Amino acid sequence: MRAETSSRAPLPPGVFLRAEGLVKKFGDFVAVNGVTFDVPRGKVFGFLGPNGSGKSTTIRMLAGLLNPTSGTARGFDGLDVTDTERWKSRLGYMSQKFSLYLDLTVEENLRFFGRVYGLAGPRLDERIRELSGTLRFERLKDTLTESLSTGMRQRVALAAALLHEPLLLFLDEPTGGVDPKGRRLFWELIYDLAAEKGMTVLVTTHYMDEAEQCDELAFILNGDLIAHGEPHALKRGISGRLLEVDLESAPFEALAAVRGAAPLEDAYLFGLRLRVLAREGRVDDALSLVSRLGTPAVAEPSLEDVFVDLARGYAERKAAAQPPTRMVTT
Amino acid sequence: MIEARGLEKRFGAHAALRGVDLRIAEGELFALIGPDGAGKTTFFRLVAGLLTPTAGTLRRAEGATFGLVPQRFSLYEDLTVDENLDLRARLYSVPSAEARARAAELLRRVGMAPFGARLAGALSGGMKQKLALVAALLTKPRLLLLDEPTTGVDPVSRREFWLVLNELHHEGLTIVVSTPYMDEAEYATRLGFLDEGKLLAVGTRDEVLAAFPRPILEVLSPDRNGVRRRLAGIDAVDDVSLFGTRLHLRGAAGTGTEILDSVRAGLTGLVPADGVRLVPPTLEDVFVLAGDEVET
Ligand SMILES: Nc1ncnc2c1ncn2[C@@H]1O[C@H](COP(=O)(O)OP(=O)(O)OP(=O)(O)O)[C@@H](O)[C@H]1O
Ligand SMILES: [Mg+2]
Repeated sequence: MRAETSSRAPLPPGVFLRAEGLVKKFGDFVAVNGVTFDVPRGKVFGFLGPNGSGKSTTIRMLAGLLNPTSGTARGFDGLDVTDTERWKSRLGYMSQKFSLYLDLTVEENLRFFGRVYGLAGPRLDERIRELSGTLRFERLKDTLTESLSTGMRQRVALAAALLHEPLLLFLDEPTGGVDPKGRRLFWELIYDLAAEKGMTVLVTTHYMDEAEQCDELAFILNGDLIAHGEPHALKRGISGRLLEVDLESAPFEALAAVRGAAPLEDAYLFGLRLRVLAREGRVDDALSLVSRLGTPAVAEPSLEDVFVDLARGYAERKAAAQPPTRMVTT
Repeated sequence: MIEARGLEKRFGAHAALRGVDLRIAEGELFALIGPDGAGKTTFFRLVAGLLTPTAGTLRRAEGATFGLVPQRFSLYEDLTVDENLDLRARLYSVPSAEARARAAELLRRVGMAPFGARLAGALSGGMKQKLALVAALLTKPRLLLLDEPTTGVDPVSRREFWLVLNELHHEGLTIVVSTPYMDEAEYATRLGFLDEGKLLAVGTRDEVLAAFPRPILEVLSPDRNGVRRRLAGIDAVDDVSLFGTRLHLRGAAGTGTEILDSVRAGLTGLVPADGVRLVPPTLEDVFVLAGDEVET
């Protein structure tokens, strides 16, 4: 039933994966509300949204691990997600929940996952050797997984997802709990996979500096896809002007002094920095308001600002019962 | 509130803490930062009395009630959100009317109000973490120990969570929190940088940053990869990271102005001179440098 509803024309060459009206209901609860988007070939695609917005559920449907209530996915140059075995053999998936066996060594874990993917013998040996080199954990092959740092465990989990040489990689919050240095290294690896191996990567993250590194982004909220585009295009779509003040101390007091003021759409802290979004046409008022706290400078909006802005628009449109999607094109 | 002297903890051959001296006063909001595996979780477990020191001493203020949110919080997955919170309130003898009102308020603030009747096992990853936070904040202990509480929590909810923490701090709670987010560490009254079981730096953010030994530069350019390739040929720069359209550079040694000149020279034709400037270091720089020095 699912397949007939999708259009059968081949995907454009630049598109590697297409989600077509994916819906997932758990009982009466709609976790994913008919999302449609394209993931470009060989790019790093970021999937962002608040907790519980439906990111993991969407990924599990795209990875062929969860049956959609309706809708489908197409990709890999001519496959449909309902062709489950072939579909799954071409993708790698790293779940949000840690999936390695803590009581096995790194190499034992990789051998186990290799066999799950049907690899064995010299081919498996070679893949393990290659990946422990590229992902830089060679010297730890005989270490118990339990004693690895979070960053290192995530690299081993990435290796496990790459053993069978997938063309598409789903990474669900791969850097949760990883320290700043480990996160940077992990992102260099993701980049290399896309740039050098031509792999298509779909990744979720709550770190906005990581989102910034993606070629394209989709935002999801309450199971609705609310925007899709390149980071700089999404930023251009923001209404109002962002101002930033460096504070010496007492950040929360500074925030309390301006929060809710009429010229401001939003006010929040980023460490000892106060950031405010001035409403359109109220920039001068906003400037004089925050100048009392320090010297304001005009700042580039972050993707967090974009998200907050989109979420506000979404709430307003929901109230006016209009269709929820706004596409940003470049 | 907490006093550690020569605190050591070994697990077999592995030394998780290797002589930590630290005093955290009543009413502080203290942040512990450091790479994973640095010993932060071990420190929390020692403070909570879940482990005993191998050597040295650890004292907690007499009779101080405390709450701990461990890194991996165990919820009853077969109970609903509300039932989990009720149970927690009863375990800590919080009067039920008070607990219910407080739970409702906290759930609302982190965007969980509609999900009281959902089984904890059916929550998303970040929602589970939020439930753990609400559970910890339900009881108002004198000392709150939070081990990476905001991992997996979305940015807007993180803002709200820190507003709540700040209120509790103002009410007089002592809070010790570890975090991989350097912006969160800046909210602390003092912070400690733990690495391989040792406290490498303790102080206010300004004190820690003042001790940073390297110059930091920022380059603005839409052609990040072009800049990156050029920089690879400049020995005076030993680390480059990307932040949107900005590149963040660390000087190998020497004075800031020398490095500024050589980077400007190295990027002529690609970036105008005013696109390269010296900037103050951040806590992330402290973090990354410590890691690099350990590795080599
Ligand atoms: N088995 C289930 N039964 C009922 N509800 C579920 C089930 N699995 C997920 N949900 C709900 O679906 C919604 C979306 O969950 P999902 O895990 O996709 O969120 P997410 O965007 O990945 O969030 P996070 O950022 O916290 O990981 C949540 O409200 C969650 O509670
Ligand atoms: Mg998720």
